[in-house]
Amino acid sequence: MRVVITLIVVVFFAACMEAPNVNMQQVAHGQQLYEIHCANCHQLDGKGIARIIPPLLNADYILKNRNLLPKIIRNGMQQRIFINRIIYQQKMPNNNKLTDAEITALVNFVEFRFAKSTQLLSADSVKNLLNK
Amino acid sequence: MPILAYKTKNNTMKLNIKSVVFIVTSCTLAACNSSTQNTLPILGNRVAEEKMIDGKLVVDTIYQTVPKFSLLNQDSVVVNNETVRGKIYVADFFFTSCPTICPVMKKEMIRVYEKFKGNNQVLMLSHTIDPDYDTIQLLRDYADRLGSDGKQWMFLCGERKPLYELAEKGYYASAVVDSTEPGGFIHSGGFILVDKQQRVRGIYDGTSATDVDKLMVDMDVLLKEQ
Repeated sequence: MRVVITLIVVVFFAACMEAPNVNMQQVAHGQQLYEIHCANCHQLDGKGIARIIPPLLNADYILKNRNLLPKIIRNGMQQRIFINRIIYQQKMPNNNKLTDAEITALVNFVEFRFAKSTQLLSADSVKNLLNK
Repeated sequence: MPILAYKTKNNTMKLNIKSVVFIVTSCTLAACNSSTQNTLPILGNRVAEEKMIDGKLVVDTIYQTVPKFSLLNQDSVVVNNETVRGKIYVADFFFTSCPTICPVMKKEMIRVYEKFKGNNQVLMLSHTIDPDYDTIQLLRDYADRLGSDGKQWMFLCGERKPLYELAEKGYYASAVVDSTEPGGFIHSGGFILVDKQQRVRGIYDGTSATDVDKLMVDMDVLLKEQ
């Protein structure tokens, strides 16, 4: 029994150690891209515009649907979206010229800055999500 | 700074105080002067019209005004030159699916609306340049979402051709269909300020917060005009 517990603890710690650290360079790159491609609508502070453009800051949607974010950034969004109990229906344009690496940086910046997440997606997992 | 140099000698100090008083007085006068002359230019063409009044030849200047228009707002209510008579208003051109400058313009227009909310001498007219997509129903929803009451800040649509002409000839704004452009249109991001006699008095960059600050100052100036 003790062995099992020890094993669980060891595995648990190992998992923690393996969690990707926040790569600040990546986040900074993401911020530059955000200012160019996203801030016009979502605003520099991530608060969006009235009930036209949804906020990213403290948006429940981001962490609940983090696996969808890379594809939303690349392909845009046509359907209605429910964020912090408000329905938004403005179409989001695509960003199909952004590379996988750029989308990784953007997702990392958005999650770190607006959702206060420190468990950021790796480049490989973003690539997988994009190719799904 | 010659004033500082004077300070070393006592007798010139008196002169110094006199000159300071003079400078302060003239500055105050200049300030008064500039505030009374704080008027806005009248844009557009003007023609001189000669009239006979009491047997005397009088030359009158006729200024260009916004041409006749008749559009529908987000509640299907007709908005025309009568609606804006005696009021000052800000006009702009946008489309709801615009991926470029419109969101910022709307954010700035919210500021103008918030400042002049409830002032029945002020209107805001946002014209859609994409009437096929921006139906009245959609404009209604858009107005709600921006927090507009639909009466002071209205969202207008009309047939494409006369609307584009109105933009160009009436408001010096451009609106062009261009499929190579993101969203499918080229349009200017101007906020056009129109006075109570429907003359254009200023054009401001609706994507620039400092320009829109200037617009709001100028609106106060216009409101004081007879």
